Amino acid sequence: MSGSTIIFYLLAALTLGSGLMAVTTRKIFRAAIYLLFSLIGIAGIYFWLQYEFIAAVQIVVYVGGIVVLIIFSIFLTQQSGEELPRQKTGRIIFSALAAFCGFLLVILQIYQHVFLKTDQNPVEVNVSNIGIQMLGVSNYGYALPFEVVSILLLAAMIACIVIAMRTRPEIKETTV
Amino acid sequence: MQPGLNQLLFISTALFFIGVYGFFTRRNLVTILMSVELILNSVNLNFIAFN
Repeated sequence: MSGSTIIFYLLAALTLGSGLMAVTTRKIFRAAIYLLFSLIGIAGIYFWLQYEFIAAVQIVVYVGGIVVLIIFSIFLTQQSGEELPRQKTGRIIFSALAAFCGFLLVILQIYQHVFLKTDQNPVEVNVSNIGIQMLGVSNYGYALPFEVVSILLLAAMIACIVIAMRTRPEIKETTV
Repeated sequence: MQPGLNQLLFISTALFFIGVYGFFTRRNLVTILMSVELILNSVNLNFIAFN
């Protein structure tokens, strides 16, 4: 068992263990911190697979963006010191059972299935190729979907502002 | 055991169902969102495992 293998299993244990703690702990702030460690573990797995760009994007987007957003929303909306209300025991048991059975089913399918290798040549994946593909207007470029997604984000942002906007009551002018 | 595709898929599946468990048992909207984040990350890991 080489050192690389041991590092992989440590990363896997970090990811799964802190993911499990994130869904079972009763303190909401601790759940956010466990989620952070789980995402860092996934980024470590990407580094282990030598996809450095994707690992960096994972850290920037998830660890730097989404977890910070979740922590902000916890601080703004929840009482982070208190424990969350306890779920019904029957519901916990049945959802654990459902998740475990689904897990077994999928794992059995995966281990029985033989994945065939593609006969196509691997594409050289580096950052400049990703950029050219992402902003290309040629046949296989992603410029149009990129712009459509940005319009969608703009619409979502405007909708958030409209929802959050306080409607001021009309001030009736009193006529004498 | 050398880690390969099967080990990555195992991690991905386990993370997915941890997220599903959290989605079913949590009662708070923010924690449900966190479970959904776990599910999305498992999907990402699956894509990268097949790459």
